[in-house]
Amino acid sequence: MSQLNQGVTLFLSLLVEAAPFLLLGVIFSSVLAVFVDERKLIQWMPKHPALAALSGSLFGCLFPVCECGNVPVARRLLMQGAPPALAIGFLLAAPTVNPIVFWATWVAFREQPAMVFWRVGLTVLIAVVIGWVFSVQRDVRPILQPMVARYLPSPPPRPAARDDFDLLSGGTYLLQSGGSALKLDMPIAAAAAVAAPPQSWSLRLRTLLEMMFQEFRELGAVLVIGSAIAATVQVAIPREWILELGQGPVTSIVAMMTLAWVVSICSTVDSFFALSFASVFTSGSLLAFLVFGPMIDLKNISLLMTTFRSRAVVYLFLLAAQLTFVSTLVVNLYTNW
Amino acid sequence: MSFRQSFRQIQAAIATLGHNALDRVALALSSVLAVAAAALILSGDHAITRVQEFSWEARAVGAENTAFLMTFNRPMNPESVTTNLRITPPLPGKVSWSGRRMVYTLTAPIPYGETFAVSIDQARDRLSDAAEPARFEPFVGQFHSRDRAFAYIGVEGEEAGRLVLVNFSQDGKKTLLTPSDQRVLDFQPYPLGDRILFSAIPTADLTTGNFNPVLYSVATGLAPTPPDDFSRAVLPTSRQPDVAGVLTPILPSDDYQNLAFDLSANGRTIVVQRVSRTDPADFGPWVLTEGEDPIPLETEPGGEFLIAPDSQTLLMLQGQGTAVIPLEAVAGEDQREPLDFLPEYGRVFDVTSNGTTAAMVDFNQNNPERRFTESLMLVTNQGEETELLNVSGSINGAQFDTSNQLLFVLASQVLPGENYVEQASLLAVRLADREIEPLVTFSPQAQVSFSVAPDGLAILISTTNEGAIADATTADPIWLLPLYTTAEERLNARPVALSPEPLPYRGLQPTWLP
Repeated sequence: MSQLNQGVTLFLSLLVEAAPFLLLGVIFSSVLAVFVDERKLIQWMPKHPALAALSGSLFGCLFPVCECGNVPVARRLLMQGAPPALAIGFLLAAPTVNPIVFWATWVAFREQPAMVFWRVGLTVLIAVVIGWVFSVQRDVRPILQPMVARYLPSPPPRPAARDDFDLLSGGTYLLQSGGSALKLDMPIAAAAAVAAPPQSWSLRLRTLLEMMFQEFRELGAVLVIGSAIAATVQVAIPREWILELGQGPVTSIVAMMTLAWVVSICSTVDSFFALSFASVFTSGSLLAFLVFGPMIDLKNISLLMTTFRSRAVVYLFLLAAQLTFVSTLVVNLYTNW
Repeated sequence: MSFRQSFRQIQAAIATLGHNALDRVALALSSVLAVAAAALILSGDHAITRVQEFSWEARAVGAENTAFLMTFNRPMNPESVTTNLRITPPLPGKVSWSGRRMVYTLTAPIPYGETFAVSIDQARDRLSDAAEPARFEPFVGQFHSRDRAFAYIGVEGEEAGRLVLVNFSQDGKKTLLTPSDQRVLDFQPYPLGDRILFSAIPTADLTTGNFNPVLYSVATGLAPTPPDDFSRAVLPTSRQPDVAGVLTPILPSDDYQNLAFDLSANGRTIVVQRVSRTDPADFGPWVLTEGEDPIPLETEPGGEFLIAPDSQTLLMLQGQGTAVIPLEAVAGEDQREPLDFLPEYGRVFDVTSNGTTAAMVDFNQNNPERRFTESLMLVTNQGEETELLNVSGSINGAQFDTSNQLLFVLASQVLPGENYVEQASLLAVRLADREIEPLVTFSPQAQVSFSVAPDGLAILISTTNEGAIADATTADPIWLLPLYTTAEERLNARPVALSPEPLPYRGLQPTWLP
């Protein structure tokens, strides 16, 4: 019975903590769709994969979202035609590289200010590397969920194919001005991203609200499932077991990364959580917790699955975990920090 | 094959190619990372444990600094650190840990005028294998305490009426701080001892009968750099160190005469009792905050006053009792309503540095049996009132030591006989058990002032008439009264009655720099 109580408490805590940030992400995503012209957006974006990933990593400064709110924004960026490197860079780095998290980490680790710079630096590095890796995928549609993939433009080298694809896909279409086709069974949110933005402000506002509602309902439901899974795992595997994995320079990193993945704590408050382990664990392992946790955790995997196919999620998880492990291992074994 | 079919095949082929590209790159990177991780683990631990930060490094430590922090780069094995920690000369204290940080809290205030070395030759982090040799970067640090120095108002020769600084840490070097054309009336050092606030009148006015005291501050030439901890936030360190004797006008004496003043514990607020030259009824305290114009404190007229250690409230004699008045103005209210009023107490001498307890005087007006006696009371902020002492004469002064363990009291008894003659004594009251230790008895009718050293090791005493200290043969110098003969007495806060030593200085109001 007490386990059930604990599970419900954890579930509600995760949900209450994450929901406002998901809403914030949904607002940013809808604003992007309704008010930002995708052609201009793509025009401004760097073409080089590394630069695109870097700029995506720094987008978090404009959209301060945690690891729940970043998914709708990254999904929107992909649907608006942003390079995959940029969207992945944003997805992995935005929860950490933003003013709120910067400030929270600074406050929590006031006595160890270098932690802030290590955290941000490593996060950007890992996000850029993984963004670059994903940029080799010229056509990202096979790694995206079909719902998302179908709104994506075709890969740049074959621009002429776009209309063909749309016409070749099954479904009911409306012919739009200029010869483009609008699919009738699209969700409103996605339709708005493809359709030309409405001109009148009242129409735009209405679309914005409808999109927000639609997207929040969709992702909110997924968040509930993610939180439930995270709560169940936390009840099944107590934190003490994870912490008992070890306190050595290597095992402490494994322990803190596992802890970060399981507790699924929001990036805006995780530094205070990590601080409570500063007395026992190495600096490198605390850093691993702060870098890896906001990228992938148990709670946001379900959100990621709304955008990416499982193979891509596995790569994201695997590479983020390995890069974090190796870099923080260097910190622990080779630096005196 | 139709156009549509062939297009679909091409589309599928491109998709597969792209897909494979991600697979290949991701798996290749993953393999490289796995190998790198294994190589790193096999190469072993090359990091060295070390002290990351020592909060008192090269700092001038004062009595208000009670603990230093030492931050390590890894969680440490506490025992290995404490057994190897050396402080020379020894400085007793207690060790506690908060994560990777060690806190060393001193048992007694740091003795002034000394340089200390801190070292840790060897230590282990919590994770290291006890069988292997420890990889620790030996640590050596140093800090010093502030100079042991005091100031007094000179009485003879070129010192007459001038503020004089004596620095024991520089072999008793004497410096005349104020100019010869000013006569100093009263003074109070700033919290770091870098400046002294004083009131003075021009010597020319001594003959004309004009009384226009002006408030100045004067640089002592000392510029201690306090530790970078909480005290830095409390004590301002922005002032540039000036050469000794550089004057800064603080408050002129124009439309108002400046009478008594008090400087707050943080050195940022001064309260001055002022009276209008044109309207004697316009009399009361003014608040002077650093960088702002002086403003009158709208409250009932009062007498003696003292700023509480929080630097935000004023304890002021009003009517028959002591009022506690906020110094910060409340928006929309001109009149400062007292936060509290203690009707029994007509005088407050000192408040402990933590602000919890005050030494106050009850004149026993409401007790017919004890009328014409005075009681020294200990009043806590929880409302507890304890009588420490009842005397037939008067209580003339009381000062807590820095550690708030002792209260030094200057009190007098009326001598039996036809004439009313008071004889003063200096007493030490141990607050833990209220035990009273008489330290010095002065000759009858002597006017005495005293100052307890910030490190609590000695007391400075001045008397105004010759041979004031009973059985003393030298006349009218400033006296130094040591309080302890052993370190154990000091640690247990048990001062003993020792003979005061005359110092080669003559003057009034000798006051230790904090």
